[in-house]
Amino acid sequence: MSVLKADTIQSTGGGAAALTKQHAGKAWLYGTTTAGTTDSFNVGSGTDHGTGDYSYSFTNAMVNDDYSQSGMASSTDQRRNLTQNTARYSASTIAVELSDAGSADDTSHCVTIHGDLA
Amino acid sequence: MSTILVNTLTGTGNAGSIVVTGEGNSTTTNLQQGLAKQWGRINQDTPAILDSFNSSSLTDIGTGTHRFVFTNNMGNANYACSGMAQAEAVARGTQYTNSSNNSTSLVERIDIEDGGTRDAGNSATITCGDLA
Repeated sequence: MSVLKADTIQSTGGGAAALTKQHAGKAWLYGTTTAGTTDSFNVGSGTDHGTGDYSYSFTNAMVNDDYSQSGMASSTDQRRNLTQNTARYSASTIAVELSDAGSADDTSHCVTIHGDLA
Repeated sequence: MSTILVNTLTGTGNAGSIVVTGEGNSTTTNLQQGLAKQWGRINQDTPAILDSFNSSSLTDIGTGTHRFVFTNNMGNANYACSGMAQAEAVARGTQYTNSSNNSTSLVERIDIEDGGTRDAGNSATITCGDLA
């Protein structure tokens, strides 16, 4: 077995190195009912815009808003849903909306982001 | 182009932390923090794991509800998971929610728009967060 020890990996040109068949996630968070985070990666502060309407800033922004956002609402009953708030999301902002049976609802939630960093 | 052939990557200062340059070349990101720590595609009808990573077993704990047991545990319960299940019918929405997560396993449930739960023949999950 060979082990390469390094703290930083770049391409020879100083840019992003290709990892064969691998793409790392660029942000993830476990969000609370008030847009706080109990744990996260590449996520700055959260903002509670109202019931079930939260946004989070990226620490390091994405190159554009064409990233992949996925997530899951935490629920002990049925009909909870998590969607992306298309009026609020951007290259620098993660935006989610939580609902329960079609009505806005404060619910803890998980979000992961894949795509290209700026 | 240069290529390094190696089986294991380890940080020198912190074994579990390696920084890589982002695609736009203007910022960096942490390799280990970005890697998915678990994924799985399952059949809840059987129930069975169709393919997976870092998942040792699947337990059926009720209609539409299953527990994934991690092979290597997470550091805590504050990880981020997401997933998707096949639709039962075009007119019925499907929500994939989680509850009762802990560092050793993940509980996910498939709900349908009319307020019930159901078993899905195909559903998939992915987990990001901190390994123990």
